[in-house]
Amino acid sequence: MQIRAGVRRWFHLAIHRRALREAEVDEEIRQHLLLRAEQLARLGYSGQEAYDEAVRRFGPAHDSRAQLLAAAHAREDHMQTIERFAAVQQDAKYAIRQLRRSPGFTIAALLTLALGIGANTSMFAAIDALLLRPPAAVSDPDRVVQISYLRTQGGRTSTQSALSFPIYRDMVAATGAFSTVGAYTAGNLTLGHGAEARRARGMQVTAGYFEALGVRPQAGRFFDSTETAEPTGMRVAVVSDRFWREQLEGRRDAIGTPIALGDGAYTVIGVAPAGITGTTRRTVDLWIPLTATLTAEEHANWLASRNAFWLGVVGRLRVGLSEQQASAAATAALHAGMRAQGAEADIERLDAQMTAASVLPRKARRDRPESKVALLLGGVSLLVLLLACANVANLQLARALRRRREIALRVALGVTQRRLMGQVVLESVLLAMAGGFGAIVVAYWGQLLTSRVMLAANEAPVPLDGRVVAYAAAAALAAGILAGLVPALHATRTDIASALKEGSREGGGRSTHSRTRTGLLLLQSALTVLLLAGTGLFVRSLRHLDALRLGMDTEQVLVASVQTAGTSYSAAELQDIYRQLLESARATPGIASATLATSTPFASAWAERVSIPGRDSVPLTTQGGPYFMGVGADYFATLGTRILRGRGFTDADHGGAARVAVINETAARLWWPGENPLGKCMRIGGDTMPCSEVVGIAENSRRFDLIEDPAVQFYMPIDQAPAWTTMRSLMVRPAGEPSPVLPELRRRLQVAVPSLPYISVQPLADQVTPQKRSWRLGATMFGAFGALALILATIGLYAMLAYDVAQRRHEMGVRLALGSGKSRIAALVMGRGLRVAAVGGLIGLALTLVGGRFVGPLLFETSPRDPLVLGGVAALLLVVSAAATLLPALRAVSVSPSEALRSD
Amino acid sequence: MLDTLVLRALAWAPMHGVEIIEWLETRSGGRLAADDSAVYQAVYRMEARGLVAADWGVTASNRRARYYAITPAGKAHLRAETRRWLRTAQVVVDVLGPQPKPAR
Repeated sequence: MQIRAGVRRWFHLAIHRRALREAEVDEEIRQHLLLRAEQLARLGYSGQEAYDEAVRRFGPAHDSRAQLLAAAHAREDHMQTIERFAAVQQDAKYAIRQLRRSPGFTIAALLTLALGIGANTSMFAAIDALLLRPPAAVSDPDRVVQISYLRTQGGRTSTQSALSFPIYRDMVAATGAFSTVGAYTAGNLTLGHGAEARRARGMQVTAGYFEALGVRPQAGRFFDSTETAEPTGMRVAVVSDRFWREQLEGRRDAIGTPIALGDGAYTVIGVAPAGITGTTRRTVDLWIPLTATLTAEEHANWLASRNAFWLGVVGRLRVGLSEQQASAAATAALHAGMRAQGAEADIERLDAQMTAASVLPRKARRDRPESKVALLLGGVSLLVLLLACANVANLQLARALRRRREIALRVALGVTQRRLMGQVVLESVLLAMAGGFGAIVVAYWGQLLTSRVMLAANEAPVPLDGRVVAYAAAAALAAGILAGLVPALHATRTDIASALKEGSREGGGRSTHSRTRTGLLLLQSALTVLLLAGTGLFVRSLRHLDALRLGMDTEQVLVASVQTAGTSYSAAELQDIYRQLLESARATPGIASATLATSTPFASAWAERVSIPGRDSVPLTTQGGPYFMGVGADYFATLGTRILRGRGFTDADHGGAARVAVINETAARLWWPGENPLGKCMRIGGDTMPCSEVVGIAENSRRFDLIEDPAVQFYMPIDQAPAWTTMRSLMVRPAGEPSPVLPELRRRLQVAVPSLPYISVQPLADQVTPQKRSWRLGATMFGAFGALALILATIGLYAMLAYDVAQRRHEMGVRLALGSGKSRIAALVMGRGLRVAAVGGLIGLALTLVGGRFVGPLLFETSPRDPLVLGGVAALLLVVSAAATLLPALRAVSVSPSEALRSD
Repeated sequence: MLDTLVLRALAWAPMHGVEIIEWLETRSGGRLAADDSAVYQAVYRMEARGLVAADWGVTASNRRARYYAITPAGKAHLRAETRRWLRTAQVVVDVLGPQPKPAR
């Protein structure tokens, strides 16, 4: 077998050493026997006897030698390890000394590594939180499943995770599949009363919920079946770890005491373990029994109806059961339940199926957009890290060439090649570990950014704990080794003789390395352009989104709503409350106008049948409808919806007056094409209803989404609205900026009605902003990585030019001595740098144009070839590159010719 | 145990293996019953721990032999071990020693 020369050498070394040692031990034994025989001879033994006696006294023949050999090997290994360790220590001290001597290089390398490793770590933290970590505090999470309803509509199947209470009960009955089943629903609860009312994030659960998750209480206990019985449970609560520490001071004796919740008092019975959020990532402050707040009326509606979908259901699989088997068993249980309720026909009609799916994030969240984005950005961050390593390798190569002489000296003085390579890699690893500390800081800021941009507001933030730090350390180690490989290999190829003779001028090795270096710089410039172009495109999309005509002034309006969870107000009581709130709002200083409405834009919408005399059917758009809002007289002024023709509503249009309506542009266009709709009659509710006269046309305004097709919509005075529209919403328009008025308004409203539950006042814009999230995400993340890439490219460019100038000092000196102008030299240097940047930028632009196809659908009213964005990015790159080339150019012209000519 | 005794020998002067054995035999009056190879094992162990240093040299009779010398760390170890052993021995003697006569 032909073994490669290098491998053979290693083999020989290992075998050779062992043979040497054995020979040494044998020699020692031999000499010992001879000396011992001499000594015994002195004591009186004769020649051969003395030798035999020496052998005898040595010990049992074979064993002694074997034991000695073993001891000798152990000794050698031990001493070698100590020696190696001492060598590494020495190398480390040397490396640190060298790093301190070239601060420019060290800072550039540290910064580069910190940014690269930090960005990579924060993306890992995000991916870990979203996809890898199992739900906190859940025992055996791969046996926990989310039970969902499979809806088939128009040939497409979708999973609906909101179930109704009877379906939940059917799942409980499927004991063959699930050992425990629990139901939950999330919502906000009001903590405290009156002016101290605060909002708490709550979850209403059944007794089986905690059991299904396998969670144990930190203190106290969880709900039992009596407390969660139907129809009405008991008023007890389990608090979260954070709530316990912050609101109850972590006192054990707080368990058993009541807290003010909703419209009554709930007794604290236990504390949940820290970090638990169930199977979602929503933070939870309190858990109360599902049935604790249900009135008899609600029981009839919510608990008994098969079509009221409001519960999430989780179950723990029985041992040995697969998800498919559980799904089949759940479906069977569902059908059994439907048959028992006499809904047998629906089984076939609805094609009712259940499915049980794992709650592990890597399976459950795999198809969510945030997960895909996170993975994509993870890939980008890996690329950035690799570029950072390449940059540092570049910097090290440049520095190594400056230190050629010193390295050659050390090799000549006896440092082995292996040790030399080890030293270079060690230096690189030290840099990377130091950079790793900086990376933790960068990762902290990065995590703040990703939490704000990638997660919803009520989700738990991305944790930065031991796992993330361990990843950062591992990434730093890998980066250090990677960055040190090429310089290490290069160091061993140093030609000693020529290095000692020539000094720092480079000979033939220039072309290969300079090509690699230039190639890396081109890649970095191209990546920078790509990422920054992405940023620009998303920013433009956001601008266009902000400029959309929504049909209302979302920036100016505040929405007030009463948190009714946990209370038992009747519809009439609620309407009365809202009327009082309206008065209070109007009386608040700084408020221009206020109005009530039967729904809140972007949150809810009602539809009602309309009949027009003389027409068989009322035309609608693809959005359905016709949608309507019952509104106060000040609605159009408060929301800023323009009346295009006719008038809005006045106080004269009260309950008993003539019925009137305002329709939107689309309705006007479709219902009375080519005619004037003012004065026409429309019957709201059916053709037996009285006529409502059309008195005005309002501009189109959004119902739910920022981007939606127009729908048919009309308005009627709130007092004339049908009796079944019991919902109310209060909208307020401050005279100036809304944010300064918001707290004062909330305070006044909170105390306007005695013992009111929590009133939340939010800007209407908050309904709209989440819809812009994906563009904001794109803009922010592309921007962050683009900035990173730009910094890395700049450092790389600067390093390359600085090295170049240092190399060609002799040449610069000659040029200056021969009379070349200083500006010419500067132009030479800068020209080289700008050329690289320009070529890289062009490559980047080409990539952007090609990749535009994929990015196009993600943008809004922006072409992926937008010349403004592309031109701006190219200009930015050139300006920054010019700045990077400035310093080396200045150094080049400040060379004194005589000194340069004299030096090596 | 043997380690400490060997160290005591080396504390006098650097010696090679047979010299150490000779010294021990003299001091113990021949009562120490250990194989010669055990002494070498002890000395290898201590060399690994840095208590003795070793190198090849030439004896008076012009033979090659490996000489062992005690190091400062070895001296410190010897002091500590000597104290410990003597204390232990004293305790054993006190416990097992002649019984005090019972008072009549």
